[in-house]
Amino acid sequence: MTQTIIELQGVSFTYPGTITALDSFSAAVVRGRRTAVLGQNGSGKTTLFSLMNGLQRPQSGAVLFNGEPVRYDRPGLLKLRQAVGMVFQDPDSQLFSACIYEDISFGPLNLGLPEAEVRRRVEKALKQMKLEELENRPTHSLSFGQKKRACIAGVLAMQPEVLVLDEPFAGLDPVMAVEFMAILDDLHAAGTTLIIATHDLDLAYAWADDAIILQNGRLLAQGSALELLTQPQVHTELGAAPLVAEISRALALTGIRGYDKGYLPRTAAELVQAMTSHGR
Amino acid sequence: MRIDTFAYSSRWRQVHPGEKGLFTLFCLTAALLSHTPMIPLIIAAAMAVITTSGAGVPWRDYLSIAVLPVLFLFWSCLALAISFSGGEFPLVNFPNLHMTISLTRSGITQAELAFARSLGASLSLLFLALTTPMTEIMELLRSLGAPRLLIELMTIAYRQIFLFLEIISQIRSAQEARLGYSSPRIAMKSLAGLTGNILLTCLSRARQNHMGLLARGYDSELLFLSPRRVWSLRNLIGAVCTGSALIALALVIRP
Repeated sequence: MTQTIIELQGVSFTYPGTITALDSFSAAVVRGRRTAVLGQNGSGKTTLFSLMNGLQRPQSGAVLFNGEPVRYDRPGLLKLRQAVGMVFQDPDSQLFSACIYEDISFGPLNLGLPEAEVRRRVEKALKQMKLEELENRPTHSLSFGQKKRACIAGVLAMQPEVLVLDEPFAGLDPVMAVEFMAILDDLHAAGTTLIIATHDLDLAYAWADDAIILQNGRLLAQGSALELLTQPQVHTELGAAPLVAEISRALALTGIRGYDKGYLPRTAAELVQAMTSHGR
Repeated sequence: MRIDTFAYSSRWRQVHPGEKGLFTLFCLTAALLSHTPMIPLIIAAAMAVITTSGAGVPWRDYLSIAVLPVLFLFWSCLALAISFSGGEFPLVNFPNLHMTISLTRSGITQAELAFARSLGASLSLLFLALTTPMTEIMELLRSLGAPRLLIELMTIAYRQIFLFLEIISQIRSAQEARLGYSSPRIAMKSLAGLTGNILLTCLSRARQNHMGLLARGYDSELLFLSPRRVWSLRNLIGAVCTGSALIALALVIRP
């Protein structure tokens, strides 16, 4: 059963004095799935995220959460921001206290939770993000990846149903990226809806269930990531194609057995395995 | 910044900030209430020993941090001892101006006391600064009921100082990499560019931070919960006993 958790209906948004960031944009995100949002720089990804978290209000159209239009009064926004956690691209814009523990407690306290519950959640988030040893270090002495984990811990402590991450892999080294991916997989397994904006097509192809592709503030395409990311028009718009998909397609054209049956490896490891087992 | 680093790596980091704060407060009060220079000097010496061998700040670093306020104190107290209208110990005479610079006996006593008191007080505060990170001092102030606005400003400012320094060093390196400081004239121009850029960067940063706050349910009040620290009865009794003994001594002993 698929159930839409966030839906945008004909949303338009223009920043004062600039061109339109989103133009009669409609898209839907399915509960519990991993959605990749793709598009060129300036195509409206960040604006889309701001709308999902209620940071911006659409000038026309509607944002729906769990099928109900978002209310832009205090309790409505608080409810939305609890349910939709947002992780910014730059961790420094999200950490306010020089003490990680304090910073993580910020969100749950805003929800008006009692102290014991806040402490429980902070400690859980610290553990989840493997930050226990860093708890006593000041924020400004942490590395980029550690700060990023602290940001996510701060959002997780609010126990959101949806986690929106803007370029979560930008600036992470491959080792950290793999660790981070494992964290995202855990969250996915726990039922959290994940939405990430990325420029990394290989990653989107390997990871995402669904894809939303933007073009100049409009929806270019939306649907299954595997289908969309193998379409030539999508490749033209995004300026690249997932390497694994391209190689598989080429191998299928050469008639090597195993590819003609429609099997699509998603990662380099799967591709190598398919090649070595079906190749001859 | 160095003080900050020592505060985080101090051996007494895990001691409840309340205990350290209480001890500091008692010693500070004793030093300021004292009628003789002796008590504050003892406090100053004790603080220096506690901070270096107790909390583990290397004594060389301690001296280099303490030397500035001490020099400053010394020069300002010198002014107390000096008189331009004649005194017991003439120093310099200007016959043409009919003026003599001299030291007075009462001035010297006054200067000694003022110097000792301020030294004791500043080294007490330095003890707190070198053993307790800023966030814990703020938490202490918060639990003592300091105005919310003040604490929020301190929290934000403290975090932003480091971001600000980072932005400056980034822009400066970028300028330097393109020979922006190769001659005094060019350096002036680069500095102007740096200043202008800082303003813009800070404005956009402020906007982003505000978004970050809102995204986590900020509603006109910055709420934080600090890590739990345990009070140690032994430390508490120690701090209170030593502190009150010092205050009592300070009140009783008169010159």
